[in-house]
Formats: sequence, structure tokens, C-alpha cells
Amino acid sequence: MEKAHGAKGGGLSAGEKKSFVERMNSVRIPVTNYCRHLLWRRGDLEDALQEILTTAYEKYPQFEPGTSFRAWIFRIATYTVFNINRKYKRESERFVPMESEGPEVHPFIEQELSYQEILKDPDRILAHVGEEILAALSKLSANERAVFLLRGLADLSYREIAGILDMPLGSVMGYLGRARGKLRRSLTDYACQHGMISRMGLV
Amino acid sequence: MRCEEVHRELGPYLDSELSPDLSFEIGEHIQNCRACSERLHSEKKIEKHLQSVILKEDREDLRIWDNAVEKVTGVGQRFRKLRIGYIAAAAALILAVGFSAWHLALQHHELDLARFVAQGHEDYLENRQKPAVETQDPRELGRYFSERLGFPVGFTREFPRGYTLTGGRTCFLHGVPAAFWMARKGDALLSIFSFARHQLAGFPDAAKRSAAESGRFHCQVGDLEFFALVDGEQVISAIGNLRADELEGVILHLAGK
Repeated sequence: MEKAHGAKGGGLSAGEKKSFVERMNSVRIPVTNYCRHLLWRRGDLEDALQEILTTAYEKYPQFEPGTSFRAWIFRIATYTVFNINRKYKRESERFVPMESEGPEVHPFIEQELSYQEILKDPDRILAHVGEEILAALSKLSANERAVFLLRGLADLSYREIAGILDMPLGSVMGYLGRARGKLRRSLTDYACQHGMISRMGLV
Repeated sequence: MRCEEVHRELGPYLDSELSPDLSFEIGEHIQNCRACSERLHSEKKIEKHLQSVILKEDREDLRIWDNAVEKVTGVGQRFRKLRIGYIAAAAALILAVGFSAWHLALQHHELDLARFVAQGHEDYLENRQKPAVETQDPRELGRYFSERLGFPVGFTREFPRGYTLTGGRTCFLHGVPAAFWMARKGDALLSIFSFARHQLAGFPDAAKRSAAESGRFHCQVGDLEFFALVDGEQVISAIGNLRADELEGVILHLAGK
């Protein structure tokens, strides 16, 4: 990410200021959700949002019309949140598996019969899960979570995500597949634990 | 194409990220394979549910966002989304704030800068503005500000005896990027805002006072004393519950005057 060049935002014309506010209104829900799910500590949300908006305001004169505003603002949000999370790096490493650890989870866990049973009637399970998904999301590695959220919340293309996270396209696909696989596994675990299906199929 | 291959590519297929050829091939397979078609339907449902769980309209988060937008732009957001239940309370609040602002404007209409500095100080008093950097070293904080604001920010001297710097953060004063130095003398909090000299034009009344009084001017805002000094390429403005001569003294000391 490029560094701030002074505080050009302070000199925005009334028209530019209006367009800045309108654009910010259009992304307020996905950006706030993105930050809430990506931050290690909920208590940092206010500082993160303030920082994101301050940076965006300063850099707004550099935003090129015709390019993706969503990609632009999510790049700033990602950079800001990663910086804040860096404070807790050691702590996060205790709780989150390293990216390279363990066998790769197949994107759709298709080898598990129980997941195939969920696929036969997903509504039966989905009606009951919410917190479990959030808990599983919080256990994803930083990159898996960022990629999944940038796709699911920001609706960005793989190429845009690769640009934001500064990683190859193939890595984006890998992280996204693993994230989706792990979240689906949480559905299976919930269904098994609550007796809705057995490990080998429906109860 | 076999079903297992289709399953492997379902994610990118749903995201419309496959090459046109592969996408066409998978689409054709799904049209002719009931099992894959049902699987696609279920995967879509699951993905949609995952998104609905993580995408919430959290009122508290949005309030924080709107406050931050308002702070950096000076353009109000919160009034757009008021719910009917809050209208009466909001109207009373608006009247009270409006009356205070009108009263303040009558008393200090010549000093727009003082009004915005007072708002920032009030945020500090009420813990809505916290330091982004906690340090007692003005040089360290000066470097932090200079790097972020793009113009030299800092003081010539240390804080005088009895005053303690607690930290600071960047902020906006009516849309003007500024360094917010947070300090105290005993129990009294002192807020110092410095910004680039050319930005003084953003506060027309203060600019007039500065021109008329050789770059040094002060006034009262309620119980607080306000003082501003044009020092080289920066403007240093300060507010606090101190005597006028004390406030002026500490700023002139910091500026090496």
C-alpha cells in the first residue's frame, strides 16, 4: 500500500466532499462488518473505522474515477486492520493454526458422507446455525478469513482480492477453498453433535 | 467431464471466476446431471446463508461509522437514518445543541477556530478522543505527526515543569487535518492542535484576527481559555481550563518565543 502523501483530503471541494460521503454511505455495512470479523479485538473497532476514514479522506484525491471504489476502500480497510492486529501477533499465533499446518481441507469435504447428507436438505441444518459459523470464522487463519470476507462481504473478484492482499491468484483460490471447507465442516460438526445426522448419514 | 471434477470447481463456478470454456462445460454437465444440479443448488443456499450470518446491520457499528464520517468531513450523517422512536429525543437534543451553538456563536462569532478546537477538547474530556500514540516525548510525537500530516509538526522546547504530555492523535478540525497533542497540568486537561499555516484560510474569522494581531490571539469559550499562535509554517492553537496568561505562556514556551 502506498503511503499517505500529506493530507490532501483537507482540501476537498464541496462537490468532492459530497461524493466522498455518498461513496462511504454505499459501503458502510460491508466495511463495518468486514472490520468486525477481521479484527482480533472488538474493542479496536472504533479506532479502526476512524483510521480507515481518515486515510480514505486524505487519499480520496488520488482515487481514480472509473476504477473500483469497493476495491479501493477495502484495500485501505485491510491494511488498517492488519496493522492493528499486528499488535496482538504473538497472541493470535497461539490460537490460530499456522497456514501451513495440517492437511489441506478439501474445498467441499465431499469425502464425508455426512456433508453429502447436509447437501440433500441444507435448510434442515441452516435453520439452526449462526453462532457456530461465527465461531468457525474466528478460527480461520488471517488470510483465509480475509479472502473469504473480501469475497463474501465485499463481492470482489479473485483478481481484486489478490491485489489487495498482495498474493498470487492461485493462493486466493486456495485460501478461499480452505475457508469454505472449514466453515462447511462446522455445519457438519454441529449437525452431528446435535444428533441431526450421524457421521455416516442422516439419523 | 466427471461429477467429481464439477464438484471441485463449483466454488469458482459460483463466483463466475472460471474461463468461459470451462464454465460452459460445467454448465452443460449440470444441465444434464440431476445430482450435480441439486448439489449446485444446495451449495448456493449454504453460501448465501454463510453470507447472511456475517453481514449484519449492527446499529452500534454504524453509529461509530457515521460519527467517524462526520468527524473527518464535517458533514452530518446521523440525521439520515433516525427512527421514529428517537425523533422526539433527537429534536430536543438538536434544540439544546442549536441553542448552545447559537449562544456560543453570539459570544464568539469572530473565532470559528476556537469553536472547533473546543469541540475537539470536549471529545477529549469525555473520552471520545483517545491518543493513538501514548508518549511523554514531544519529539517522538512530532515525528509521528510530521510523517502522517506531511508538514513539519513539533515544538522547539520540552513541556514546562508541571505540564505532562500524555499522547496524541491526528484528527480533523472542520475538515482540516491537524495534530492533536493531549497534555495535562495537574487535573486540568490541555488540548493543543497544530495544523499547516495555509489551512488557516479554512477559518476565515481566525485568519482575520491573526492578521490583525500579528499571529497571536486569544479568547474565552465558556469556562475555557483559547490561545492561538502562528509559528513558522504551523498554527498552534490551544484550549484548556487554565488562566489566559498560563495558556499563552506554555504555548510561547513550546514555540521557543
